[in-house]
Amino acid sequence: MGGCMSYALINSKTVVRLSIALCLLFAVQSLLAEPLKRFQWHGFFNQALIKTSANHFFGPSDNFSAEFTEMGLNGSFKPTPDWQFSGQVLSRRAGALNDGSPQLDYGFVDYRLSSDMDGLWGVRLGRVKNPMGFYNETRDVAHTRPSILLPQSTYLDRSRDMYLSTDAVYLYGEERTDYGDYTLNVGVGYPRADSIELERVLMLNKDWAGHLQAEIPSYLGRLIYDWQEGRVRVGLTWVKAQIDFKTGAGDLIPSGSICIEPRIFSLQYNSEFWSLTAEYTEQKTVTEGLGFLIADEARFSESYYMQAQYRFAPKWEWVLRYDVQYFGRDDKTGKKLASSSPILQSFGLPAVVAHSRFSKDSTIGLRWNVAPQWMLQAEYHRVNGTSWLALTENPDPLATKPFWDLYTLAVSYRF
Amino acid sequence: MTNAFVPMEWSSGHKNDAAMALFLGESRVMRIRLGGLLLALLLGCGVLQADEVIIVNSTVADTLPKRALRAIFGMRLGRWPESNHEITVFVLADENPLHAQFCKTTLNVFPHQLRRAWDRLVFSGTGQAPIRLSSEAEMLQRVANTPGAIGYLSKDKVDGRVHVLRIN
Repeated sequence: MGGCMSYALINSKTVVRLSIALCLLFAVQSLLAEPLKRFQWHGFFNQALIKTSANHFFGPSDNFSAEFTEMGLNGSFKPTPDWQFSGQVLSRRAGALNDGSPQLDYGFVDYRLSSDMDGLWGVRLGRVKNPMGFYNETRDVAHTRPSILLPQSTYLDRSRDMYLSTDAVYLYGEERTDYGDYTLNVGVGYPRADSIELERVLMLNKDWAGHLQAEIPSYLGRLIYDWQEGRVRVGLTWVKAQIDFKTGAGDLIPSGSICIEPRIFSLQYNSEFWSLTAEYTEQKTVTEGLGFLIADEARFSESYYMQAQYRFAPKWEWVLRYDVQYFGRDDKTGKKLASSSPILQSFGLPAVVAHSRFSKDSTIGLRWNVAPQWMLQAEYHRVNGTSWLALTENPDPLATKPFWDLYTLAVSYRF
Repeated sequence: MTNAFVPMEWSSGHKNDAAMALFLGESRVMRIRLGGLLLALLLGCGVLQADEVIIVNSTVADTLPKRALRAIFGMRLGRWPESNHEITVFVLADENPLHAQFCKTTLNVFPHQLRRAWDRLVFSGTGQAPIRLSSEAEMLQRVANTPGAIGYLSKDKVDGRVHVLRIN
């Protein structure tokens, strides 16, 4: 009798519990079923092996370096067609430039103000990848690059951190017509300027006691014209960023500012088997208040590359590129600046060698899309000049070689 | 497929030129060659229209301008123009022949262009990728069952559960 009672009791309890559990399950399912459909996640991985005949690129590459690893994971949630929340965590190891510690690569909310067949307007708020040229926004994703290393003249890896992303507000718009689409991005925000490499690049190749920071907001704008969904693409990028130097104890350089203003003109043609790309950058750098070693003046640098990609078989592609960079538009050989080297050295600063003021890189590369998610790449660079070598990796300019070769192999995965 | 068809006809006519000229004389050959080309073009156009079609869920209006279609498959248009319903885009894998043909003949883009555009959205966080399905059977079923859905299919696999979208 007691057994029967307890059985009934258990039974009714079980029924109640079961029905509560079922209700919860249905509730959770109906709550999550929709959102889960609207959530996407993707990721990527890339590992390269680098060998140089001289000089260091991403680690001790004059031996062999495997210090180029990229890993990323992103998620996006689109509750309605008008709202999107996106974020990506990135781990990048690149010689002495990045140590692989995970970073918030981007994280922002995107809201469409208006959208119809003919175009759209929207805003983004948060950490946004800088829309510069054709490749900057996805520069760390191997599958989206034309080669293992991006053309350094335009996508300088040693200054990558500053150009990468901005904590900003962006307005974007798109106008679609029967003869092409126009896409505009305009943003205001703070770049991430606090890197030792950047300090060396901008401040006479020395790690000062003081530090760099972006105190006033930067502006960035890009307009892209696409004909037939990218058959022909024309882009124009304009950036104005100010980085301030806060002097530290014993520094020879007082507090001052550096204003950087690159303008990038981009052009691409895509056919079934060919992609031809060229980008030209002119950068104006204005220094102010940095004392007697860095005169108050405007300097211009110039860089460009021309690139051909040829898909010669369904899973195969080769790339050919000529990539040029001149730090001094009116001192292309670097000899003028190198002549001031003794003065700098007399203040205990590193020497300036002429070949550190330019680079001419001829590249040939091969890409094999082994499977939709896997890719193998090999490439060879013949370089004259060292203007894009990282100063933290090559601290003594006199030890660098002006003519050098770079060989690299990479395996990449993405989903 | 279509593109391969035209040159094939053309070149086979071309090979026999010398032999045919002996029997028929030059002008006759020209006429046959032109006729053959015209026929090939006509057939080609026929094949172009017939091979694959855009399908939409029955909740969706059945005409759309081309620029809107490109924006939809470029993942840059979130709502249907008149109804304002949410759009769900289904595609087959990049290497699927029907996908390649759809890109080339209907959208007038190459699959690698579309892939690059989606990658830019996905890896910069500024958009989402379309939903990739593994077969045409799945395509038919998912488009039929998802309000606001769009996809593509071989014409002979279409049935009454979905609408065929016309581009104007």
